[in-house]
Amino acid sequence: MADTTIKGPPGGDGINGGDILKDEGNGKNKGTVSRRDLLKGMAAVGGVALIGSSTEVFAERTLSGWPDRRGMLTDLTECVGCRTCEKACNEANRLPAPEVPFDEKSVFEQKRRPTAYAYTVVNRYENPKSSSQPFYRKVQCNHCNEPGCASACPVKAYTKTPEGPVLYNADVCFGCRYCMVACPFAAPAYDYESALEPRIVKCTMCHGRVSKGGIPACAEACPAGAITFGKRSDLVQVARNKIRKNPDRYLNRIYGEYEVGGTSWMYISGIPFEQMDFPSNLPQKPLVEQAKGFLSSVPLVLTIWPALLTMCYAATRNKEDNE
Amino acid sequence: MSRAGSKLYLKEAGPVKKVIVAISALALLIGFSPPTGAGSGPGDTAKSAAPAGGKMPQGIVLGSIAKTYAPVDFNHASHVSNASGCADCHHQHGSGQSLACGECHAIDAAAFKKSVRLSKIKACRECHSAAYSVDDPGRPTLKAAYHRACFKCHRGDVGTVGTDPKGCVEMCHVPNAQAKLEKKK
Repeated sequence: MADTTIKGPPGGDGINGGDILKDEGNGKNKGTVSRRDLLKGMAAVGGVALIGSSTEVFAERTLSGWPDRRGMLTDLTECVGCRTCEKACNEANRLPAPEVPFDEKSVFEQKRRPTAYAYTVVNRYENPKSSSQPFYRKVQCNHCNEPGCASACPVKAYTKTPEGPVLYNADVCFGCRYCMVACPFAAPAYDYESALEPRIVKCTMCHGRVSKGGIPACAEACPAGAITFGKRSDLVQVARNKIRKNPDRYLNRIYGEYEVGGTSWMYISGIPFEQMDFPSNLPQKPLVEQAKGFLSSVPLVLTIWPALLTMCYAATRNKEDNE
Repeated sequence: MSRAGSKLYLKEAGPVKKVIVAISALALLIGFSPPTGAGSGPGDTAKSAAPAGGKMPQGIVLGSIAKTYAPVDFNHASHVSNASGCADCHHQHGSGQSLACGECHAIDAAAFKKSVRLSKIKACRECHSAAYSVDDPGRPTLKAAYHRACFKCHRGDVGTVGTDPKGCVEMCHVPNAQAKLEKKK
């Protein structure tokens, strides 16, 4: 290609700095693109591709356009560990009956995580002030404002709905389980029983029930009112008011208000969240932000680099041919 | 904030309310007869309905929202003898939206403590609806209000609620299926 437009100077057989200095004024006067200009351009484009400064192009999508999105607030001080929410979730999602009945307390002996057959589980933690009043933590998908699972999924099986829930489409899933790695809350569970039809399962915040005017099954079933459902912005206010009016009862923190860019499901507690195995090292920015720079550079690297290298090759090859 | 969020914790009440709480506590200590517990929900019936004379119901059947379990046979009398005062469960005095004193009491130092109009004991359902309100998520439903009142004592201290999921059945609730069986017998 470039026989006439790109003219390599004599003696320049490499693209190191010394050669560039020697090129000074050589190509410009001939009205052609000098190797120096070419290298400058390459460096600029390559740099962009390398360091991923193109994140500005992919401007951060804020969720301020969804002010009415729904959320959940779990008041961990109210939960008595009756496991009614687990039972209600099981029934609402038509899951098989558990091996251990829902009124069995032996399940608290170990820490559980959501599975393909239990979208929510309740774990017990000691209360340092009263052994007869342990704390309980309900675990399920937190429906992040900017979900890491969705950004990790190569086939876009996840959707963040304007209503709040993060939904999953099993039809396109091919079972890579990247979402399980990406989720900081260990919420997505894999259905290991069906190898041929890979399926990730997790809480849907009862999207079906809610779209019919209902509320999530766990919130409806909770006898203590520990699980509440409403506009996320309202729930933040509810949580703030509770904390303000009962400073002895609550820590001054709403878990999920800012973690990983905010989650739909939030918590207030009487003991530090770390003591209940909540991840404590999460950034306040969405996890997507962490990977965005790198991920957005991938298409550039894949498309521009081959072209650049080809041009490079052509430029040097041209000279060699001339010699 | 809903009144229910504040109902259980008198310490959060403002100074004026604290005085009211103190007066009412004093009144209770000195021993005016506790007011009638009004029905707590539609269909919740007092077994021995007390007239507005000062007698409280001995038992109340709490069944208006019974679904998973059979209606609860609530022994009001035993709770009266064990509680330190009516406000332990009837949280008017700790409520964020308390009525003015004069609504229930005669504003007369001599008669104040004995002047409670029993009809003014509000039913839980007057503020806590059985249906969940998405627009008012801070207000506990009737079910939550009932249970939170119970859990003040029946969580860890009395019974096994709070440590064992079976505690609910052991303490108050009879599963529907079991209740039907017992009826047949």
